[in-house]
Amino acid sequence: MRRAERWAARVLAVGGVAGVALMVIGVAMSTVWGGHRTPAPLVSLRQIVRALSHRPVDPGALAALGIVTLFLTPLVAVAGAGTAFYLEGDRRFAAIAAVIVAALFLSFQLGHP
Amino acid sequence: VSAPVFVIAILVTSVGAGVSGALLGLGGGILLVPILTMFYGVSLRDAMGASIVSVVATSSGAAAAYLESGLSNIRIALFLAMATVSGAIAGAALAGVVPERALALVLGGALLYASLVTLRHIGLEAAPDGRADVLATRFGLEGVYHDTVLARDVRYRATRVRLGVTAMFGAGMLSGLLGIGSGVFKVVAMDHCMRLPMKVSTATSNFMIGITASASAAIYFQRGDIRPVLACPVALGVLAGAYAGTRILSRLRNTTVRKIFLPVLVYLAAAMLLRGFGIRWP
Repeated sequence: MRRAERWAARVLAVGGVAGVALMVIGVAMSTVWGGHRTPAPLVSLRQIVRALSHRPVDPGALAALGIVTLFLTPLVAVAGAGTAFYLEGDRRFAAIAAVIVAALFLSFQLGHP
Repeated sequence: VSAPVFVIAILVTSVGAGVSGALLGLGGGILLVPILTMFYGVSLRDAMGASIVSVVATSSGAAAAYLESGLSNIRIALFLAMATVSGAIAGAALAGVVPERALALVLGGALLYASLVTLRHIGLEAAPDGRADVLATRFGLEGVYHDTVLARDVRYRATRVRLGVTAMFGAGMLSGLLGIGSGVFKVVAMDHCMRLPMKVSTATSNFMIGITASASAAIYFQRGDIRPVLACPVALGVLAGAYAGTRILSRLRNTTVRKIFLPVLVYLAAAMLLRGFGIRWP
């Protein structure tokens, strides 16, 4: 297996499990302690970081962090594969990966998938 | 039903969605959204939020294993993802300009044709070698995987790459316009247009759906449409199901995967054509 496949596979495996684990811990804590303390759902990374900086940890913020981790995993996997292609001297596929990452950021900005 | 029973039922359903998603290269939304809304009384908005979680979880769980085993081809995935993502952005930008019903009719017709071709080739284990494609040669769109059923290495090379790219752009455009996943279209583009082995098509689609869905997922998250209480059992079940699905796929023949894929293809062709005629189903 080449480096690009190896790196992308590791990112996907670790990111997928970490994202789901954070969600499970967050929802379990929320169930045991009686729900979220935050009045509204957390919808940005800044809100999540702010909520996590307070003690004790907000279960809702932990679950939201898990969701964000899960969603960013494929994007990071493509970036990782692109880096691997670049290190192997395959500039063509490094550029293709960069175009995909840039297009995804553009789609975030447009506010549509 | 009580909360624990509800959670267990969602978990079991999600395991099924994960297994089928990993086998067929789909996100699982095609199964999950109707089941959650019709049988569990979940609102469509919450079901779609859970569905997008299911797509990314399936992709993360299945694609990792498929990349390790060599079934998923990262070069083909990235090359075609350019067309899908561009199509999705174009579709989102053209929403309201391009007549959705006309597009749904065109794609429904294409899926119906793909269903007939699949039916005709239902017993075909490996696609016949096509003519060497310039783009496939230039970009190295080829690979090899070890088929445990056939007990040998299977080499393949993409053909008719331009047709595949066009189909992928259409699939992406449909995602952007209608807000649906496009796993089925991706598999059809790779299996029919580019004549890749069926297992390579579904495995590579699994990697690609995560890339497309991550863009959609950010929108859903920012709108507050993802409820962790529902998304958590869905993600957990789908991830477990996806891992199980990857084990099953390696033990199946390409013909078996095609036989499982055909009813899904027919269902989606019918749903798309009905949508084109202005009938929502389901």
